[in-house]
Amino acid sequence: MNRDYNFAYLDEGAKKEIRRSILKAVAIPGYQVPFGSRELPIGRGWGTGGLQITLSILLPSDILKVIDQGSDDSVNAVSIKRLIKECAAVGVTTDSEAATVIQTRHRIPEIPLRGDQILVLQVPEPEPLRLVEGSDLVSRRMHGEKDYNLIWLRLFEDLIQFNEITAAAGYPVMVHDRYVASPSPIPRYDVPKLNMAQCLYLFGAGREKKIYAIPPYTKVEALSFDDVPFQVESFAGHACGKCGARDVFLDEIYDERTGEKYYQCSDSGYCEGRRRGAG
Amino acid sequence: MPDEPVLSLYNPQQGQEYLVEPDEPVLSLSGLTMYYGQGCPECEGDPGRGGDPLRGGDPLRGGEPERKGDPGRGGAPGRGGAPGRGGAPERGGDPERAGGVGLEKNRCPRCGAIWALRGVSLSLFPGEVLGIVGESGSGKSTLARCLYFDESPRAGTLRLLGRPENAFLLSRQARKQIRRESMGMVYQNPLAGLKMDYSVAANIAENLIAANCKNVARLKQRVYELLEIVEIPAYRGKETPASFSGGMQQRVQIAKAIANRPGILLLDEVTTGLDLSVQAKVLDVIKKIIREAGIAAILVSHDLAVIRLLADRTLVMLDGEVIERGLTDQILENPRHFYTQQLVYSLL
Ligand SMILES: Nc1ncnc2c1ncn2[C@@H]1O[C@H](COP(=O)(O)OP(=O)(O)OP(=O)(O)O)[C@@H](O)[C@H]1O
Ligand SMILES: [Mg+2]
Ligand SMILES: [Zn+2]
Repeated sequence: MNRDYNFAYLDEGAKKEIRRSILKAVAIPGYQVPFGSRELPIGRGWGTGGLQITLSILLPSDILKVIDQGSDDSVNAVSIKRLIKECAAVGVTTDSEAATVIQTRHRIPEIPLRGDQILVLQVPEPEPLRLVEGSDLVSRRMHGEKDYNLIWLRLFEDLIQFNEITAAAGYPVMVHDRYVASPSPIPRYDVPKLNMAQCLYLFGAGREKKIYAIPPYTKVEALSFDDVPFQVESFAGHACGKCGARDVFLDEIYDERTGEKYYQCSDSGYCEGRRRGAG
Repeated sequence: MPDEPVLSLYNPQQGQEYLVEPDEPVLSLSGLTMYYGQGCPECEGDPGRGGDPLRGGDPLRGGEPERKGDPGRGGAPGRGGAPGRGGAPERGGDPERAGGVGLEKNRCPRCGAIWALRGVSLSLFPGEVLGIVGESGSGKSTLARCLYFDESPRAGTLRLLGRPENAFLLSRQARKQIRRESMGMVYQNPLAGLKMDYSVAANIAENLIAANCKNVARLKQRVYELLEIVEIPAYRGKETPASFSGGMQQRVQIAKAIANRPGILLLDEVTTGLDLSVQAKVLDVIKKIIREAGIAAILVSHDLAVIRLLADRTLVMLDGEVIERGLTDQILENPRHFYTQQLVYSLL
């Protein structure tokens, strides 16, 4: 650990301020709380929102896991992990069960998380209304009035044009029957994990300067029409080429040498654990 | 006017029934005053023109104003030379009043505010079509937008569906609900009424979804029903209205406006700028809807032929004021106001 930095890089004042925004976000599930996003030695848009949350909540006793699209060893995950280790002497792990704080981009781990765990999501676009309304002012008023008709209209338009809802990631969810939120670009497969979860979910958007939260045991529902149920990705008939898992989110991988497609667990820590257990 | 003892304006979404006596208006407006700009009543020295000023009224149309890209509106200059303006006898007898040196008559010479409406009053009865005529700039569209809560007037009282409260003073939520459940609007400019980047079907479904219908099968069924009413082939429902002709766009607006079976329909220059044959088709559709659905409608037009065809009663507007009103036949056959005479004789 580099002693030139304050614990967890940010100064105590900044951390306190961010924690205050987090508390507000927890108190109003799904509501986007503005916060004074700090400069970090990582470019905005590379997970700085999630990183600031993680840095603000870390204790020396924490055990951290960082994943990017499920993978512990992608470049982005590794560099965030290295930065945090440099300025905070916390333990790190790839095991979702052992971690107390998990920072992630685009995935929620396969195993259900517990009440003593916090999942921090990096969010590029926190505003679920962005696609249908360009003005921030109007969007904020729509949230205030719980007027989400334009999102519904967008979903209906999808059904008219394509007979299905095309939004693959960042599917809009209704949080606690009040605010529609974007669950960040997690696949639909992960959306049901937000509902009545034991763990705390924190969402941070660095560029857009917003924090929002889904506290434990909060009702979270994907927006869907009565007669067109919400559906998650299906990997029926496929299994992980490494560990043989079937009921998990699989990445499709194309082998250039053989010209063949094969599947692999998107959650690398989960896959690793299964192989260790089996071997 | 209908002969039934009572007209029931039942709204299925609301599950509430308003019983309106046939001699009781579904809409009654008094003292509607609207100006664009700041501080004008002081210049006028007559702030009370239309009653108490309305405070806190927040227009429901949030984004860009309708004027943007409205081809029929741009040119305020060049209106000075309209025929017959000088001799309006009932207007206080002073044609110079608003600084008639070629400036806009409805612009306050001191603060520059534009007076669009001055104390307009009207009533709309169940099942009738009320025509509103007047030259360009006389305030017809502003009136329609105020009635649809797109614009918050400076003063005025609006009572709807027999309810006692002034609808202009209701909360945004309440106004939204009234508008969604009881009113339909067809804008002069289709760009103001339609989302050009959504399909025709989604455009028509918008108010149904807003009224909390979240069943795709039912939404689609109603949309195709409405397409049939306005005589647009079902297969075109997937296209965006941007690819439609002007007449078709207006028919899409009509379908959207009547989707929730409103009691009150506002039609602003539905046929303006359309070919005669296309006009006839749009007018047929409107006639059919009004007769079959028993909707009360306000029909704004500067085309007297359209007014003659559809309106039971007619108001004539000039510079934001109603200068003459009566049965349509009476106004067209025997206009009393000098301005109306000019209008009728030059246009017929
Ligand atoms: N948003 C606005 N801001 C400023 N002035 C406006 C606005 N909207 C309308 N006006 C002015 O108010 C007056 C009445 O306009 P309005 O559009 O209601 O007339 P109209 O009778 O509908 O005319 P047309 O027949 O050309 O449609 C005009 O002088 C117009 O320039
Ligand atoms: Mg107009
Ligand atoms: Zn695996």
